[in-house]
This record gives sequence, C-alpha cells and structure tokens, in this order.
Amino acid sequence: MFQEESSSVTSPLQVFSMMSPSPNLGSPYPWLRELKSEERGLYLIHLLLTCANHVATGSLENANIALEQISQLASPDGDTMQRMAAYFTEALADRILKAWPGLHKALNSTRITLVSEEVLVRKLFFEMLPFLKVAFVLTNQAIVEAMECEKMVHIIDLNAAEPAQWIALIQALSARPEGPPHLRITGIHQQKEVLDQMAYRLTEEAEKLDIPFQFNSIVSKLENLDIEKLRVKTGEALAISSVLQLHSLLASDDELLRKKSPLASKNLNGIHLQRALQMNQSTLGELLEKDMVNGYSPSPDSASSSPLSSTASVKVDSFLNALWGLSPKLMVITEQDSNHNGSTLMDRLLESLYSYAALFDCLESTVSRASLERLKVEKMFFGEEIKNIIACEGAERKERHEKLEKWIQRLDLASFGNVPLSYYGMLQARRLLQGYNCDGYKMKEENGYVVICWQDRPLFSVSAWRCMK
Amino acid sequence: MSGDAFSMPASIEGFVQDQNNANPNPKANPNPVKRKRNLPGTPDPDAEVIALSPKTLMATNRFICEICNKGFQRDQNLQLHRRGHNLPWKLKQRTNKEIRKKVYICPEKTCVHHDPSRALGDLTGIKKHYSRKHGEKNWKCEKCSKKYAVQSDWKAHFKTCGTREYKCDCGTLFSRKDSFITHRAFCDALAEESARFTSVAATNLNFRNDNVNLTHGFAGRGVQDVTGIPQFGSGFAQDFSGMSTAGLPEMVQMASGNIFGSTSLTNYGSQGHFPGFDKSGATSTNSNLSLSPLPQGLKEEGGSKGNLMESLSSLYPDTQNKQSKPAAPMSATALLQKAAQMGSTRSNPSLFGSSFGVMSSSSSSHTASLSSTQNRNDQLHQVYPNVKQQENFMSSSSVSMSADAGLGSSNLNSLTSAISNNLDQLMFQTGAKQSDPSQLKMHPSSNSIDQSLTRDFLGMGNDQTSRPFSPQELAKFSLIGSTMGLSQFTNNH
Repeated sequence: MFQEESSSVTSPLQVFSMMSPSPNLGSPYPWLRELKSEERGLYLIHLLLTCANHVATGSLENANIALEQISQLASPDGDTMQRMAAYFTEALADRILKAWPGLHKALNSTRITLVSEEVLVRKLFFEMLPFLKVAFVLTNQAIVEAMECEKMVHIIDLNAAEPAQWIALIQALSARPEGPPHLRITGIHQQKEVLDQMAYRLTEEAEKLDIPFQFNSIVSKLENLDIEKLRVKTGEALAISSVLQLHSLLASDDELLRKKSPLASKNLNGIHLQRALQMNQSTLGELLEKDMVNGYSPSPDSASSSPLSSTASVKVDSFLNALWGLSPKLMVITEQDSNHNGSTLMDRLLESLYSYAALFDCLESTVSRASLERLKVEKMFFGEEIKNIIACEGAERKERHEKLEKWIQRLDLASFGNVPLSYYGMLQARRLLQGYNCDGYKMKEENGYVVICWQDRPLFSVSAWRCMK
Repeated sequence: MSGDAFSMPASIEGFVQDQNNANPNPKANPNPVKRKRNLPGTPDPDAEVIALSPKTLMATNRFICEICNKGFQRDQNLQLHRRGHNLPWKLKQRTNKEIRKKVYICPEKTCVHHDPSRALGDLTGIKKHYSRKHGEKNWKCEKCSKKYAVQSDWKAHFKTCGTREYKCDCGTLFSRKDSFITHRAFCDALAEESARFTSVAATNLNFRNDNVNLTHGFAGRGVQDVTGIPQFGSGFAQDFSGMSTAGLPEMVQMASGNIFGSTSLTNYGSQGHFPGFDKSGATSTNSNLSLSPLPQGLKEEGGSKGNLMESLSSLYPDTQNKQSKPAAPMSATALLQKAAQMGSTRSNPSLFGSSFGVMSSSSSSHTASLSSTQNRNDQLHQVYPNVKQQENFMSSSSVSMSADAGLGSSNLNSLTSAISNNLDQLMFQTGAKQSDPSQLKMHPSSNSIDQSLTRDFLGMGNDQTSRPFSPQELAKFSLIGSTMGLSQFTNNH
C-alpha cells in the first residue's frame, strides 16, 4: 500500500502513533534512538500537535503520555526541532499545571530572576540576531531625517534597555551639517538599574561629542504610564520609539471579553467592531478567495472572537490616543510580524511553531550548538515568550504579537499617518544584514513598511508614523 | 657739497616726506641711562613721529659718495670715506640737547602701524616690519621651502628647521609645544576621524556584528587573548550592559566591530557573572595588541585592532564555515513544511492554494473544539467540501514534496487529521470510525487515484473525510493496532 516515498516517512509515524498510548512499553523506547534527525523532527511535530490537542480538549492523561514521548526526543541542546520541542512542551506542561493554581504557584515560588541575567539575555538577543539592530538603524535614520532642521529634539523610548540605539543616534546627530540639536531622551523601563546604566552611558557619549543632552528616567510599566510624567514641552520636536512594546498592551482579560461580546459595540472603536463583524459575516466564499490569514481568524465560533474588535484594543487604543495627544513629529514602531494572538490554543500553537522555527533556525545557522549564549537566548528569551503565548491566558498573556496589517489599521484609526522609511535607512539596514554573512535574512519593503524575514517567513516589521491632525 | 642736504635737523616737527633722515643718534651710544623700552606698539607720547617713505625704508645704502658712488648705510661711514677723497668731511657729534625720542610709522596706509599712536620705536624695527609684512619674500629655506623677507629671519629659521617638531595627526607640524597642544585640542582632523568612524558606524559598523561567526567560533573556546579586551580609553562600569554596549561606539572608533564586545560577552556568559574590569586589567590580559597608552594613539590602535580582527578572521575561516552550516540537514522550518506537505498529498494542491489556508484554519479551530461541537463540523463540511477532500489525501499517496509553503499552518492540522486518517486506513477494523455520516456525501470527483487506493484498502470507500481529531478514537485505534496486528506494520518498514 505504501508508496515508496511515503513509506520511509510515514511508517515509523504510524508505528509510533500506534504505540503511543500503550503504557506497556517501557521507557526509553529503543527505536527512538535510531531515528534520523529528519524523522525525529517530523515525529516531534506530530507529537507536539497531538499533545496540544489533548491539552486543548482537556484530556490530560493523553497529554501526559504525549509529553512523555516528547521528552524522550526533545532536548535543549539538540537540533533545532529538538530545542523547539523542549520549549513548547515546557509551555504546554506549564499550561496544564495552571489548572492547579496552588501547585503552579508552589513550583514557581522560589524562582529567582536576576536583573543582570535579564540584561545579559537582552544583550545577547541584540548581538546574535540582527533584528534589533536593523530596527535601530531604521528608527534612527527616520528620526534624523524627521529632525532635520530642528533645534530641540525630544525622544521617548518606550523600552529604554539598549543604549546602543541612542549612542548611534547621538553620533549621527552630532555629525549633521547644521550642528547637533539640543537633545532630550526620556526612557521608560521597569527596572531602575537599567535606566541608570543607560543614563550614564548616554550622558558620557553626549559629553564626549559636546552635545547638550539630558536623560530622563521613568520607572514604570508601560500600561501604567502617566503621560504627564513625560513632560513634553511645547516647541520641541518629539519622536517616539517603540520596539516590541505595543503588543503587550493588547493583553486584557479575555474572559470578560467573551462575556461582553454583544456589548462590544459599545466600545470606543465602533468602526473596529463593524469592520470585524463584516469580516465575520462576509461570505465564506470571499474568504476563500482572499488570503486572509492575516490574523483575522475567521473562526466563526464566536462573533467577537476576532481580537481586533474586542475590548482588548481599548488599552492600546487609549495609549495610542494619548501618544497622539502629544503631537509627535515621528513615531517608529517595531513589532513582531506574526499572529500569535489567536483566541484558541491551537491557533497560537500552529502559528508560533512556524515563527519560532524560523527564529531557532536563525540561531542554528549563525551560532554553534555548543554555545551557552545561544542556549540562554533560546531559553530565557524565546522560551519565555513561547511560555507566555501557550501557557497563559487573559491579562497574563502579554506576548500578543500580531501581523503588520492589524497594526496599520490600529494606527490608522488612531489618526496616525504612515511615513515611508527612507531609502538610505534601508540601504544601511541591508548592509547590516549582509554583514551577518547569512543569506537567510531578508528584508522586504512594501508601501514604506519594512519587514525583516528569515527565508520567507516574516518575523519583524518596522514602520514609521506621524501625527495627522 | 655739504652734508647738510642729507642731514636734516631732527627737530623738525610734523611729517618729513621723502627725505632721508639719518638718525644722528646711533645706538652705539654707551648708555649710562638705560633706554627705556616702551611696550611694543605703544610709543612714548611726546616722542617725535617720523614717517619715512617706502623707498627710504627699504634703501640699504642711503649715503652715497658723490665721487665714486659708493653706498654707505651710515653717514659717519660716508664721512670717513670722504676723508679718503680728500674731501671735506664732518663727523657730526651727538647733540647735547635733550634727545628726542623718535618713533616711526609704517608708510603702508592699511597697516596698523601707520597710525602714530601705534608707531614703532625703532628704525631697524620698522624696516624689518615693512619687509616682513609688505615686502616680498626673497629668502627661502631649503629644507621646508618656507619663505622669508628678512634675511635674519631666514637664517634663524634655517638653524632650527626640522630639529624639533611636534606633529599632529592631521599632518601639521609645530615647532612650538604650546601651539602644538592648542592645535591638537581643536584639531579638525581628529574630530573628522572620530566622526568618520561614527558615521560609518551609524551606517555599518554601529550595529554590525562583523564576526558573528567568529564570536561563536570563540564561544566555548575561551580565546583569552581576545576576550580580555575592553574598550580602549573608555571607562566602563562593571555592569555588563555597560561593558559590552560601551563597545559599540568606542569599538567602532577602533574599527574593530563587535568582536571584542561579543567575545567579552562570551567570557561573561560562560562565567555567569560580571567580573570587574579596568584598563589595567585589560592590558594585562591582552598580549596580542600593543596598547599605546596615549589617547593620540587612537589611530594606531584602530589600525592594530583592525589588523587583529582580520588576522583572527583568517585564523578561523574553517570554524566559521563549519558553524554556518546547520549540522542537521533539515531546519525546523523545512521540517514543518514537510510535515505540512504530508497533510496535503493532493497532486495539485495549488488549486486550493490560498483558500486552503483559510478553510483549514477554520477547520483547525474546529478540530480543537470538535469533541464538543460536532454539529459545527457538519456545517463546515457542507460549506467546505473541498477541504475534506484535501484531508483525505493521505501521506500514503503521492506525497507532493513541492514546497507549498503558502499553505502555512493549516497544513499542520491537516497533518494531524491526515495522520489520524492514516491510522484509520491501516486499521482493518474500521467499523468504529463512522462519526460523521454526513461526510459520506462529500466526494468530489477529483479524488481518482487516491480514492481508489483508499477504497481498495479500506474496502469502504472514501468516507474517511477529515474526521474530527478525536483523541479518544485515536487511542482506541492505537490499542486496537497494538493488540491485533503490529507485526504486519513492522514488517512493512
């Protein structure tokens, strides 16, 4: 029955899946060792999906068995698929454990998070992968161009963690022909130490280049940010830089959301909702024709499930409105360009499998497997994101990445107009990517937005906006 | 002839134009009274101002013997010479009258010293001034081709030319230390150089991780030579982020990219803490680079570091190559795509290209919730007839491995259903599987080969449309399989 091609691939799968629920087989399954990496990878995918399904449907026994199987194969220092499987199963296990809140809390109660480790991991992510650097280059170039004749420049950084971005900007501004402007940077972060360090580095750099400079620290969570504290003065040109920050504002209490779904029309964004409803009600045939995988999960299981229409957007919309109220001359937004905000676990799992596969592949092609740094980035940076996407729900789930189109709509609604990113900035960014000596990284430009991809998978997007009155 | 024509009483007030005015009061006067020197350019208020013409000033031999036309610079010399001609001569004595101070102004109208209040007190001085400023430079230094109008200046320069010099990085030479220091403080070239690095940085180097591979070649090797190197001439805090981010601009200036930052990263990463570093520590650990302690060595440091980087890259070309290749033949992305392919085994999946994505994603969400909502499934099945066909096509049939990445995540779900269907196919006991009789309706004509295959095997026609992924049934089948005919399957592979 089996055709040649398939037999080599499918037969082990069949055997395995048949044997999977059988408790009679002792562990470890000896034949697992003999799997070649490709087969093992495919099997891991299958197991992950199986397990996720079990988790989603609540059949924990089967989920447990699947997890057991995966743990035989997955490993944080194996090949890409093995590593991914390790973190995804950890996330799934965490999700299961949340069903017993007491147990979950007890297991996590003694966890220590060192600020220094977090700082290190962020730095590693910045160094090893080009995404942040490209974002910074594009942001800085957009700022320099927008501030061309300005004498007083004020920059607000929604997540002031990486001084390198602003050091580069300071240098670029000091080299401009009409001389540097009076520069103020306001940094927002949750940890004071990080802000202090940043203040020190930036002030030192500005002094070296003899630029009038001032750094203001604001220790705050983004969602609790008090706009008044930003102290934007009249007469200064304002630029806002948001790197991977806005999506956390989409987090909200989904339960409340679902209950309120018929009332959703009362929310501020009536247009949003109507649009979403139209989406849902449009003929499925229409959906068939267009490729609408852009995040509107066309699952009609609940009328307001499409996240865009929900009140989840209230927080981010009010934040955007507040920013609009400051009349920034420029706002540059860098975000993940993947849909990890689906309403169901399976949606999110499937999407994130692809995205993180791409990210893990990036690391695989540029860093050695033995590298401890790579391990740290995978575990503490990506692993945490995966855990948040898979295991958390509601307000806890902060990593609500969405596709660029959705962000564009949101920003349009908040009366921001698009500023195409400059050619020169993209040139610099491309050169930077080439410096990584890896053909996998690609940069696409469409309508003035830039999307950074790995092979064909879009991963991050950068877009620039201005205030439209 | 009387010498009177040539000597005029010095006491004539006002300006004397076009006349020789030999100074009868030579400096040879031994002076019990020391001459008071005024501040330069601030003449004695009651001194006599004398204006000489340019010709007079520049004249070298103003006193000419009428007999032999020999020229003398001084009248007294001429008088003595006249004695030889047996001509009457008269040496003028210095008058005992009160000596009137004389000050001279420059004949050049545009000159500062043309103003009597800024007259110069010395005839020689005004002569030299006039030549230097307004005369042509006829004396040239051989070594450095610098030109001088006054011979004494030229001589003085020639003696010291090239003996002791300070050189700025911009190429300017200085003989004086103070002017050198002042220049260097404001030198444009320095600024330009650092600007050049930083602008290049802003474009390329700033965020460029030139030697990512290098770095990771170092990872785990502990390249101690390189790792110890912090930023030169930059203070850095013990804080790690300070450590390595300091690298970016300063290191950029050194044209060494991120190599040092990253390698120091490596060091820290493996140690798991942040050792304090200071410059001395750095230099001690650094044996490769010659650290010149002076800041002026910036350029040299940049050069040496650049060289080091290049040499290092040449040192580790192999490791770079090795590491850039993934050891596993298939990347995770490729694996996922392949898995997805296995779900869409139709020979022409392109027909349903993009739409499939939508449909399957809807079906995927269904699969999750299907154990509870079978009805939903029915509706969808009716609406999306084609989808079910797709999922019918098992991996057992021709697996079209053509990259069909556009199908995306949907295919994974079809994979899960496909796999479950696969199992179903294998099971000869298929009675338990009829969950959706409605699905029996869905048989578009296009299934040809695959259907026949499945039909043959199952003996029950193609009604295994994408059944909901029900774990219970899967478990059931597996049990059935395990109890009944494992051997038949193990034989097959």
